Amino acid sequence: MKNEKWIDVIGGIDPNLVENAEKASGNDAVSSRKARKFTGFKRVAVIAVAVILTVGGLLMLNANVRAAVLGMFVYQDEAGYQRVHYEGSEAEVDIHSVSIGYIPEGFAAREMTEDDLGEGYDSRIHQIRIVKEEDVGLSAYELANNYWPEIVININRAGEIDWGYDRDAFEMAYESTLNGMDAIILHNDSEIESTNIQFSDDKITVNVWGIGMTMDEAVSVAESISW
Amino acid sequence: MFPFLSRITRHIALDLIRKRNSAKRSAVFCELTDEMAECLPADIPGVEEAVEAETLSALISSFLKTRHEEQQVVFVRRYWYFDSIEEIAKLTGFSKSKVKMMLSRTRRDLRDRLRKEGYTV
Repeated sequence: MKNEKWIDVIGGIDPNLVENAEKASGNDAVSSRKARKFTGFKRVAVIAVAVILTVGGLLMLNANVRAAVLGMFVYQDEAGYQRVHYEGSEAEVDIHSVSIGYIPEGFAAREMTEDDLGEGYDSRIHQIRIVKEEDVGLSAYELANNYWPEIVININRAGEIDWGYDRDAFEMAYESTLNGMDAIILHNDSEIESTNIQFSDDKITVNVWGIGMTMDEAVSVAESISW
Repeated sequence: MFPFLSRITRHIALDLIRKRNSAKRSAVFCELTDEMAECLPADIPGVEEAVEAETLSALISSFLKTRHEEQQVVFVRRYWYFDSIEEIAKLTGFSKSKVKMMLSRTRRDLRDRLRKEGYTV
């Protein structure tokens, strides 16, 4: 209908429809939708369901994942492991004086070089691999192929994890970057689960948590992290 | 009484708008006309306009009665009361985008309904 005849057509619709629409300018039905509140039984029921699903979801996770998740919030989980979530606010270290300090017994620190990394080498990245002492002389790829578990530290001030030798480590590191962390230190030593380092312009914040780690140990690791 | 008075009021309002905009069509009516062009049929030659209009009005009414009350209100406020999208959104508490979507879908479904009735849209 290309002209305004529709005005007459619509004008002739059932008056009850028109009256209802007029009433809607008051407070009933449609306009009361604005004031509709989520209260009473419905609210309680939804919250209860959400809590049940959340708790149930956590319980369904496998022990390791659950421990890692709960470790973010609780000091000691159901398995009896002592969990420490150390925000690092007490161990903000000077950006110029951080050093890799924590090396488990039987392991050594080996810095990855351009020879190791080839095309993967990026001068912005300090890649340190903590390897078994006997494997210090192996190339990066030999290390990657030789064994898991392995300990990888990737620190990228650009806020990216370029790559990781171990897929699990890489994925965890990548997820950490999505959460705003610039880098992640992964230890598969039983004492330590993971350490996150967060860079900003003037400080490095370190989050450390691990199975069986005491607060003093966590602080020690945080204070000793370097690049 | 309400139907009688509302129609009178509407016609008076339309006459006023037309007088004020005699040199050119009101932008509001152009917009509404374009929207209605999506779903109402072209003129059917040979049929008296009054009959055509009455038939269509009845069809639109029966169509609207199959819709949810909120959709009825939004449609009527737009095309009977000539409310703007903003006014309808404020009235109903819906977002403007939701009002537009509701109108679009209602027009689409109205078009489909009229086509089923044999109209060419």
